[in-house]
Formats: sequence, C-alpha cells, structure tokens
Amino acid sequence: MIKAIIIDDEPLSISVTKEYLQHYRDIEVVGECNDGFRALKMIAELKPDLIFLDVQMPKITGLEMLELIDADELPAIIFTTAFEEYALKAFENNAVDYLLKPYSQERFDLAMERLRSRPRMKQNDVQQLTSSHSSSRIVLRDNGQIRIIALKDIRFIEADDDYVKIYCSEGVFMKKVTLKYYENALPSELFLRVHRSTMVNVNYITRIEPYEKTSHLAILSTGDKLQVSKSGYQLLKEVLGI
Amino acid sequence: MQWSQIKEQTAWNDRKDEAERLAKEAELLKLRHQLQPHFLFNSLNSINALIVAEPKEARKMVQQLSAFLRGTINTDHALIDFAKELEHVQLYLEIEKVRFGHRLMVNLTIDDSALPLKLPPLLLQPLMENAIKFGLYGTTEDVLIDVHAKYSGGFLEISISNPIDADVSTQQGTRFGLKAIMRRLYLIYGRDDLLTTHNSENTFVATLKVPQQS
Repeated sequence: MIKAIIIDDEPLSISVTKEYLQHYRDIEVVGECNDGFRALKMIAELKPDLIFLDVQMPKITGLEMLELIDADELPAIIFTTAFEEYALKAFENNAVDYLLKPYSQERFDLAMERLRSRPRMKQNDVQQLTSSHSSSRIVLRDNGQIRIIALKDIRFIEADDDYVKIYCSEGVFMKKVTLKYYENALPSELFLRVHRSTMVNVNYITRIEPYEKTSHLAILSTGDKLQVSKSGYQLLKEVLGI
Repeated sequence: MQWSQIKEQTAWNDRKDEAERLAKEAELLKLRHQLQPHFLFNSLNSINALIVAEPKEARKMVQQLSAFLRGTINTDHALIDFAKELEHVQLYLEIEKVRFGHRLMVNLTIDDSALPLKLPPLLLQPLMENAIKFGLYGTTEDVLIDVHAKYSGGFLEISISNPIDADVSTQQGTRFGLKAIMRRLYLIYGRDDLLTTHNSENTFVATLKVPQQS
C-alpha cells in the first residue's frame, strides 16, 4: 500500500485529489492538512510515500516546507498549483511532476504513471528547485521550531562544513545547505560572496579597510569584521561603485 | 509671437494634453483590471470539485464568478455609489468563502451615511483581496477581516483590517495590490495620502479616504 498525504489550503482542492485517487486501490490517503507547519508534523509522524503539495499556502510555501524535510524522510512529490510565475521551468527539469489547477483525471493519471517510472526526488533536487525560486526570506529549523527570517535582517552568512551559519538580528542559526546554494537563491544585488566562506548583506557594510597584503576587511554597522578576498573586493567595488 | 504660431502652439498643447489624458486612462484601466490569475484558476478548481459532489453549489459558483468577472470588465469611468461597489465586493466574498470555508470570516460594519457616497469603481475589491491574501497567507489560524465604512469630514472613509503573525516576513507579492491602488488614487485625485497603512503586533490595517464633492 502507498501512503499519501494531501497538503492544500483549500478544502475543495483536497477533495478533487481524493476523488481522482478513488481509482487507485493501492494508494491510501493517510492524512490531509491545510498548511506546511501541520504538514511537516504529519510527514514526520506518518512517513508517507507520496505527498500532493500546493505551493502558495499559509505562512510558509510548499517549496519552503520541502527544504525543512529531513533528507531520509523525503516522500515522492506531486505539486498541485494554480499559477506559479517563476517555478514552472524548474519543475519541468526535475524528477517530479506538477498539476496545474484545475486538472483533469487524465492529466492526474499521467502524473501517477510518471511517479511510478521516474526516480524519486532527492534533497539535492529540492535545493535545485528552491534555489531557482528567489525568495525574500529564509526558512529554517531551530531546535524543532520553524523560523522565518527576512533577508533584510540577515547581516552575513558563513560556511561551516555541510552547514551555513546565518547571522541575523535574532541570533545565529544553522541550516544544512551549501554557500553555493545561497549564491544562486539570494538576490545578487543584496548578498555578495566576498570570501570563500562568507556572503554579506551589502546594506550592513559601513566601510572597507585594507587587511594584510592582498585582502580587505568589511566592517559592518553592527561591528562585525569580515574578511574580504581579492576577488570579493573586486565584486564589492563593482556593486557598491567604489 | 505671430497669430499662426500661437494657434500652432495651442493645437500642439491640446494634442499633448489629449495624449497625456489617453495614457493616463490606459494606465488607470490597466491598474483596474489586474485580475489575479490565482483567484481565477483556484475558483475554477473549486467548481471542478463541486461539479461531482454538489452540482447545485457548482452552478451557483459559476454564476457568482460570471457576475463578478462581468463587474471587473465594466469600463465605465464614472464614479459609482459605494452601495454598488459593496455589491461587487459581496460577490467576491461569497466566492472566497467557498474556497476557504470556515477559515475565512468577514465582518462588514457599514454606516448608512456611507452608502450613497461616491468612489471610483473597483477600488474596494482589490483592497479586500489584499487583506484576505495577507491574512490567509500570513497566519495558519482562522482569519477575520474587519471592514468599517463611514462618512467623515468630507471623505468616504473605509478601513480594512486583517490578522498577521508577528514572526512572519510576508511572502512576496502581498503588498503589490496596495501599490497599484495608491497609483490609481494618485492618477485620479493627484494625492498620495489617501491610502494609509498601520501595522500593529497582530493586525494590519489599511485605511482608504475617498474625497467627496460638497
């Protein structure tokens, strides 16, 4: 038996998916919920094999929710969405299917067929998908709590092994992604990679001082001092026009 | 200046004024017709669900959606009664209530003094849409939208409040609706102080003031 969860903030939208699923005797809907927070709990508890996932939902989007699922708990995913300005292209290239609302039983059946023949989405694929969907905030887990951090509150991001450390007004938080990921995902006019292991929010920079022979230090309004590499300095000069 | 030159100058000015007026009208029309594709496709999806389960409800929703769409493509520029705009908003609310069920509640407190007052068409609905979107996507709890309208010191004053979660930095796009409304108000009245917003810990309030001719 395949265990499925339907996640959508519109009850009628869930009922269409359930109706279309009636033809599938090997799929059991074990849960349904209306937002990503409840969905994360449900996924951890019920460990479904498949989720139907709406994109625009309360508080966190379906894509942000995916980023918060542990890699080994990631179910197969079929996106259901009414209209997505940016993400469709990314969906097309990925090991996943999306259904545009309102979808027919036939299109639904095709998605189910693809699901059985395609390889499952991995956490890497999720990151590829979410990094192309530029956002104005970062969503992460902190001691089991979900935090939503606005980009404007983030001073800088530092690489730390498999994680990054995010320095913001409310503290320092960890997230399991690479700095490279954020180079793609964050707006390039706001966050600059000034060093192999650092990205900085340009709005916090108050001055730049020479440091040792070939590098510099960026001094932030909060007093933080960040090392700037030679190429990082070039980048800063270009973006800040100095 | 020669008489013929003056005439030419006047004609040129007239053309310039006319061109500016047309550009302004086109922009106003475009701003007014910014129908949210999300709303349309999701409404169709709700209808798709109802067709099998509750055919009568499906038919009702088709009719509501049609009436609503007809209202949005009305190209009349004249000011309309607030009572008329309210009817259009009610249609919109009925559809949203079908989509979101009990999660969405709307309280309308309309002073009788407001009903005959005038405003540009399709101004209130996008404001409601913004509040509903903001509310529904800003919290996972039930959403109560409070609307107050009254006559106050030469203005039709409408305030719309929606709940927000303090810890949520808004999803993209929620503020766009307000910018379009501000631009429209500026083009019509030449003022940029007619739409104001206020953020408290758990509520977001937008207040619209529409000047009335005495």
